[in-house]
Amino acid sequence: MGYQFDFSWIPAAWPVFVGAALITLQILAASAVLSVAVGLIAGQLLMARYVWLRWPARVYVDFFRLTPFLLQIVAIFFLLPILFNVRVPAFLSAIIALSLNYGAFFAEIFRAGVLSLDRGQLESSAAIGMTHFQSLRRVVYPQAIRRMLPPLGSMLVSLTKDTSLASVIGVAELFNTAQTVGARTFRQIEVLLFISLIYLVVNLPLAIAAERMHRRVQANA
Amino acid sequence: MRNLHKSFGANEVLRGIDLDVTQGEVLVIIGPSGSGKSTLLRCLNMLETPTGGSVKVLGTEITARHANLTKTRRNIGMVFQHFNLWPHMTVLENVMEGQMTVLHRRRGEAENIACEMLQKVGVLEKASARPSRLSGGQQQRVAIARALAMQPKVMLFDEPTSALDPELRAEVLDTMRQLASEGMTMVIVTHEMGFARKVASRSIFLDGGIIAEEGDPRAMLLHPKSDRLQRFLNLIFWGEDEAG
Repeated sequence: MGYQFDFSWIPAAWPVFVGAALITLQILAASAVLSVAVGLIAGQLLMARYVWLRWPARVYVDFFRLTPFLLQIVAIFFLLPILFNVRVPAFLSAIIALSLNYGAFFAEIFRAGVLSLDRGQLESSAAIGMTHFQSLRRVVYPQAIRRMLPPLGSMLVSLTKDTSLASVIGVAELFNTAQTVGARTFRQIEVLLFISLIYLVVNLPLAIAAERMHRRVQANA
Repeated sequence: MRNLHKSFGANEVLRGIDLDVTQGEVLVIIGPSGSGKSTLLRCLNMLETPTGGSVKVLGTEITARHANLTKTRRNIGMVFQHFNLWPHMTVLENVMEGQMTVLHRRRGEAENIACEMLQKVGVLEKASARPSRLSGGQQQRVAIARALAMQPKVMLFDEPTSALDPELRAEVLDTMRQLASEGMTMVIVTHEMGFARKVASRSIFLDGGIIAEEGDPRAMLLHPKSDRLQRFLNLIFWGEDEAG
C-alpha cells in the first residue's frame, strides 16, 4: 500500500462543494415535498371506487416501482423535450424524476397505512354524517399517518442518496461536482470520501429520527 | 322499507323485506346469525347498499340515486358491535367531532352538549381519557353519547352488547332502556331476549332473509308461532336444539 492520501485540495475546493451541497439539498427538499404530494394523490386513487381511476394509478405506480430509477431519470430528461416540446433544465428534470419515482413508493405506503385501519373507523364516521373527504381528514389520516411515518422516514433517507443520480444528466450536485473536482485534482478517492461525509451529515439525523418514530409506533401498537 | 333485497355476490342475504318503523317505536330484530339482521339494519343508513327495493327514512328516499346521504345520516344515530370509537381522540373529542365537523357547531357549544351526553350515559368522569383506557361497557356508552350528541331522530343498534362481558352488558342495556323511556325511536339488533321482552314495543324474527315472524315481543317470545322461532329460542335459552 504505497498510496498517499492527500486532502490538501479541500480549502481551495470548499466553495464549490458548498454550492453543490446546496443544490443537493434543494433537489432533496423539492422532491421530498412533491413526492409526498404525488404519493398521497396516487395512493388515494389506488383505493378509488372506480376502475377508471384505479387502473391508471396502478399502471403509474407499477411502472415507476418496477423499472430502474437510473433509466427513469435519463428517459425523462430526454423524453420531456420530445413529447412536450419544452426545454426542461436538468435540475428540474431530476426533481420531476425523483418525485415520480418516490411518489410511486409513497402511494403504496399511504395505501397500506389507510388499509391497515379497521373498516369500522370509516363506518362510524360515515354513519355520523361525514363526507368521505371529512372522514379521511379527521379520522383516517390522523391515525394512518402514525403508521406511515417510519417507512416514510427511511424512504427520505434513501431519497437523499438517490439525488446523486441526478449527476448522470449533468446536474452539478454533490456527486457530479465530486467527479469534476476529482478529475481536476487527480484525487478521486479523497473527493469521494469527502462527499460521503456530507451525505452522512444529512442522513444521520434523518435516520435517527426515523428509528425513533419506528420505536414509538411499535410501543404504541 | 319496501321489498328490500340485498345480495353479496351469489349469496342473497335479504329476500324481500317490507318494514315500517313508526316514531317512538322500539323495534327489536332477532334471528340466527347469517339471517341478515345486521345487513337489514345497515341498509337503514346505507352503510350497505341494497341490491333491490327502496328505503325511506324521515321522508327521504335514501336508496334514490342522488340522495343526500350525509344529510340523512345526521339524523340517524348508529351504535356498532365493536364501538368504533376514534382512538386518536379523547372521549370528549369523540363526542364533539361529529357536532363540529358535520353540524358546524362552535367548539364551546359542542363541548357543552358533549358533557351533557356523557353525563347522561354516566361516563363524564372519563371525558379526557382515550377510549382505550375504558372498559368495553364504558366505550359502548361513549359511542351512544357520540350518536346522541347529533340529536338524531332514530337510533340504530347493531348488537351493542355482543362484544361485552356479561357483567358489562347491564350498564349498556340500562342506558338503552333509559333512552327508550324518553321516547327515542330505536331499531335494535340483539340477542338479549330479556331486554327485547321488557323494552321493545315490537319485534321481528328474521330467518333466511325474510321476516319469519312479527309482533308483540312478549307474546312472540313466550308463544312463538313458527317452528323456526321456537327452535331458535330454545337454542338461545337452553343452548340446545330440542327439535333437532
